[in-house]
Amino acid sequence: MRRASLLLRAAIALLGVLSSAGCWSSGEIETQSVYIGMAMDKSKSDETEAALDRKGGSYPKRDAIASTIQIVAVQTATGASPKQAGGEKKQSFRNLTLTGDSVLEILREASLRLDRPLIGHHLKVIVIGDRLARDASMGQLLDFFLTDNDIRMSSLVFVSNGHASEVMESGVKEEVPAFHLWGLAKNRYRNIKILPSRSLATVNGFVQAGDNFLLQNVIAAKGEMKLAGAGVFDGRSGKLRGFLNEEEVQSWVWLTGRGEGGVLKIDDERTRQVLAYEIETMSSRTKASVSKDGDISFDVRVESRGRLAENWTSSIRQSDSASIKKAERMFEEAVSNGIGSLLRKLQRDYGIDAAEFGNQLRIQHPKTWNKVKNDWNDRFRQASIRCRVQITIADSGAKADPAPNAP
Amino acid sequence: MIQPEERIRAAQAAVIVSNLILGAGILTLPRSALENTHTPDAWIAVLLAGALALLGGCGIALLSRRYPGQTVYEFAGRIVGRAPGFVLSVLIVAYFLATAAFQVRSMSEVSSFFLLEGTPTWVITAIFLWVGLYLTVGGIGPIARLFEIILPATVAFLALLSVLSLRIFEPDRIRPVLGEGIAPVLRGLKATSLAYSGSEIMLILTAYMRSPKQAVKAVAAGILVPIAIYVPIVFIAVGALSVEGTLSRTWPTIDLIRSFEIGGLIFERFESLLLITWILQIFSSFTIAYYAASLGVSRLLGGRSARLCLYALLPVVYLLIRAPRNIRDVFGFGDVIGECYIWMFGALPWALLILSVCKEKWNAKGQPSS
Repeated sequence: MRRASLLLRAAIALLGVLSSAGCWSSGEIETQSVYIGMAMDKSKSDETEAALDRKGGSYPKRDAIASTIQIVAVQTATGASPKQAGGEKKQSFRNLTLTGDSVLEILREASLRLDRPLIGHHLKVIVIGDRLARDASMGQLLDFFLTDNDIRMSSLVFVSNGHASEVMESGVKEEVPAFHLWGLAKNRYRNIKILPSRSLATVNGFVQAGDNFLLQNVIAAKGEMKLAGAGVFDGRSGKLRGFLNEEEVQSWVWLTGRGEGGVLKIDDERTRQVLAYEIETMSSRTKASVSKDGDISFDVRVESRGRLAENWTSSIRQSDSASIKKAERMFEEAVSNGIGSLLRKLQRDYGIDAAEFGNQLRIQHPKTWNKVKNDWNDRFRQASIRCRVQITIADSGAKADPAPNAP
Repeated sequence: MIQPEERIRAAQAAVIVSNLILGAGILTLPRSALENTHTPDAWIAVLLAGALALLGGCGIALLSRRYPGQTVYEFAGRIVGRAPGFVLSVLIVAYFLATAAFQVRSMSEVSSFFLLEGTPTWVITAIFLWVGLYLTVGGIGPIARLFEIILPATVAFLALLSVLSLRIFEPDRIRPVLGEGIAPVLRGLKATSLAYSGSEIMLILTAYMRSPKQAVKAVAAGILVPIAIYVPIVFIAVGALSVEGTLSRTWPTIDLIRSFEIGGLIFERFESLLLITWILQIFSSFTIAYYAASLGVSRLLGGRSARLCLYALLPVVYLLIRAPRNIRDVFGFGDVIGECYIWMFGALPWALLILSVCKEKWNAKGQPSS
């Protein structure tokens, strides 16, 4: 009797242990379609989808968004890896383009075409075409991504001046465009023309607060992509208003002091030869002031330290502190001029404060900010902004520059 | 009376208080702190609310240690009289039951959204309840020992996560400090105070303490740990997600951790670490609240076996867990509990304390010989 009850208890315990090691709603990775990139354009017809439509595969919708979903190829256990010996190399991703008006519906419509369900845990990049971004607000376009439980807020958001879907195509075998783009955004320590990363979390902050913001622009041609400037978004409407080119983004980074590294190249005044400065550190401080009659002005002070990393001229000598001073002044002028033309574009052409001056006013003069925040962009047009740049060439690398022999 | 082997040390009492306070609120606190402040100063409100909780907690400890070996279920009657004491005890039992149910419901909401999509809620809930029952049947000793293991892990994980989150922290987002004055901070005090509910467990725990004199010290230490966890979390969440961004998220703390990925460490993503920690904290909050409620029921029924009550109350708790129809109801449920906490355990213990002291003085005057 006691033995039987002991046996029964042991059996129940064993059963419990066995079942607790399982997962009720498990799904093996091989049975899922992991999508890692998503490009959204204003509807453009996709050949495959058009052909399916003609055979009756359509549903009631406005063709507002053409969404290109990038799915990674899964290496199955049977060994069909992308790098199969001998055979043709397999494409390591698959793109699927669907049109519709709701992002979620588009994603679920994909289940009519894919045997493996889409999962969004690894979505890395979202690219939005400029025509769509001009028509629909960023808040609307990203709403689904911010509601879904799979998608992480670390996904990066880009805008594309052109067809976003082309960014998701690749001319290089075995390269996955979404990962490629994700990697490009991490090169900020190498190049100053890249904005601080715009994750869903960051963009959500801008959109919710109604702040103006920039998104990195990515363009594609012949199967390759390039980061090229930035899109300017109006905080009121959340829509794209225009673009900044690479030079202007560079000036934006100088102005906000957000650079992590990169190069500033100028032509020497006298010899018209190349001089390049490599940025080691960069910082910027903005002082906002409000005059008695309510005029708002900003004093920006940009400071940077770095090295003279390339010098084609004979007029600048590393060992001569006077000529280093001269080089510093030329670099400072180049930065100031760049910032000046960026500010002209933002203040006169766009009338949009996309360089966070409003934020500085909010921090330094909260009461004034509360009064002007509703028509801040108009106030920003009239604000006077002064900018001082100070560049220090701290060293000149491995190259030594012997002082000329004393006569 | 309480058996001698069930005595706990002051440190254990402190750990239990911390564990009860740290619960469902961790994931929503940045949002609830901002809802009434709307300024980056929410963290100051969290800090001040912590100070208020310390004050309330001290009242509870001072009151409880006047009645060594007795829980609130026994001494309430001695202060305010039998019938009002009974009513008060019923209210306290209801409060602990509701707290226990709220914790488990929050856990099941988050688990089924982020972790176990597709697993039926009853499975998640039932397993949780059974494991909790298994622990509480063992009494206060095993509860205290388990909590001693959980708390350091929680503190370590949350500290690690806070440090990692600093990579997306932007100092400009938490500036200016007190830009709109102290008024918004004061408006946020109530909502943030709710996050500190938990020190009321001392009304029961003091009876189990080896040296009830240390009750005040224990409750203070027990509240300081959550302050040290809450303030950085709110500070960093607002600095990373911005005021409006945080307000727009249902579970801002999870989103904070989901806003970055780190290469080079063993993990790239850390939300599972947060959720594990959080579920452990919910488990501890649930078990101790449930234990306190069962104990109350057994005392109210005239000292019936506490063990029997633990089993009998399980279906009641389950019904309470399933009562809210949707997530808005769940948050509403949490707000009601918070409201009760402020009235029942913020002001009342001090009133009872004063009453109890007066009564003693009066008695002493009336019968100088004794």
